[in-house]
Amino acid sequence: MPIKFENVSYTYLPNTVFKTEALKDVNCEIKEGSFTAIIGHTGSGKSTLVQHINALLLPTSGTVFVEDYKIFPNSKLKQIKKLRSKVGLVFQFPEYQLFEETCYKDIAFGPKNFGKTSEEIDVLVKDAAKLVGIDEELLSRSPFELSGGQRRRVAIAGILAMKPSVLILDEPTAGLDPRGAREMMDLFSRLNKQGITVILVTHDMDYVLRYSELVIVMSEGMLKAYDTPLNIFKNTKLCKELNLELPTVFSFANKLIEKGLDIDLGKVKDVKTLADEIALNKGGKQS
Amino acid sequence: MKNLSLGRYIPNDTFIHRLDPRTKILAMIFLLVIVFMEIGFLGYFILGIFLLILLKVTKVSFRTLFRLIKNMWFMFLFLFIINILSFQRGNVLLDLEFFKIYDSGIYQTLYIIIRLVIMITITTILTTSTKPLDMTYGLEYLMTPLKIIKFPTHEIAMIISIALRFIPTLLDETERIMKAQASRGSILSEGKLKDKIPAIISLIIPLFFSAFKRSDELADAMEARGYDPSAKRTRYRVLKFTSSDWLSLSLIVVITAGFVYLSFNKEMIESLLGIDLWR
Repeated sequence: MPIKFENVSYTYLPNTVFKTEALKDVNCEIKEGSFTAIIGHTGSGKSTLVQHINALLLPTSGTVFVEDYKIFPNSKLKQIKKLRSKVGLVFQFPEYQLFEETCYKDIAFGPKNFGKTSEEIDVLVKDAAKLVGIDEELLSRSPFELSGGQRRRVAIAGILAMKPSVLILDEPTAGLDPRGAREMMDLFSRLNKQGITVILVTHDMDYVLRYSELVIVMSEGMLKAYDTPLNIFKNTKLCKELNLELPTVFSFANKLIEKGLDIDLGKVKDVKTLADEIALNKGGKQS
Repeated sequence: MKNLSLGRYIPNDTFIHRLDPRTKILAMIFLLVIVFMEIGFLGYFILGIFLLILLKVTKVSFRTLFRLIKNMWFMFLFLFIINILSFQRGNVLLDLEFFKIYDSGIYQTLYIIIRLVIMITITTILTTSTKPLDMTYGLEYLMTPLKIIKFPTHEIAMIISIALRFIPTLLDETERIMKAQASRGSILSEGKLKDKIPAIISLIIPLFFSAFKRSDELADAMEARGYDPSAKRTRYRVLKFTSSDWLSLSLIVVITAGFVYLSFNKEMIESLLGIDLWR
């Protein structure tokens, strides 16, 4: 399901004293099955951008294409409701959206709204719970009894149960412990390998380097760059201009290159690949 | 969330904006008292013109005000029906076989509608020209005499300012949760009431949950900084009465006195002007 933005602009509260231009003439295309990261500072328009993909926001001008759906300023809700089951959007701190008496019912909320039968729902709920690592015995408990991390998983399962073909994640690991965060990211990476298009909004450059194929850089509502993580982080001018932090392993590799090691930055993704590169230099074994 | 700009503080630099909040609150109380006096249509006409001038000075757009009032059409209709059914004296305007419509019912409805519109106008002028925080400071000051009867003025002012402070936060939260639930296919804005109920529940429960959590955290944060409501404290922003405040207050008092005179001497003024003010 390719996603295409064509001259998309969005203004909050137009025609009032409080109006703000959140998006300015954005053009880009996100390929089906890709893993795309969206980075940029707070208020740069990242969240506004992704909320156009499932028509939570309608552009003030321009058009968004998602598969056969066309989202334009006067789109009618009826025509796009189905789109929302195909584009799953996980908001920041999604655990705050839980409301049902049991986790099971909460995960079932999405599929139920899209008219699935109770047999189908049962399968979808159990599959989704398994994917995020929630035990079946927890499903009959109230989500308010669970720990923060577990509640986050339940909330994400609620989105996955809709079987979306595009998954949008807004800072999905914020506030999780390191291990929980890694498990979460590995889950998204696995889902991506199964063919789901993943769009990740994040401030964590390590994740960007490690997981994403392409990066969209937003600044002041404009699309500043759309390239591979390697090209983005190698572009010192851009990173300086937008105050982008480099991924830890990337700046470490940079320092090693300065000290004379011959390291292929294109191969450095995480600690393991960086170690491989160093080992190669020193004549050691590659794992 | 577009309608929320209604009645909200609009930053501007007009004569009314610059007035002390205490002046504005007192003036509002005086004007509201006038609204509830029996001043007849002539009185409301004069008051209306005075308010139009105030609106112009405050730079409130008539469109904003009209939208506020438009939302109340259902209430107006309801009042109209109730009044027609309950006022059964005066002159018969329309005689249907089973019941009669009297002019007093219509007059009464008109009165209430005029009073409501004027009240909305007065409060809109106050809220668009006064920062919420200034308003609470003003209220706290005006309530100080109540301390004699052990009325917790500071606590009340603190409660009001915290409540005001969290309105935008809670609205943001509402919007966020609405969007999150809409992403799961729940739509609040359409469908029958029966279908809307789960959507409403899916909004209200998370909202309460986070509001309680927030208030808990805020209470802890305040205690951690040693907040003591009974402590004597000074103020960073000191409210100051200027000559324009005294001028405005005197003007309002004169106007109020005029209306009091009008309401007590209706018959005399009626005969003087030779028009029927009604009642």
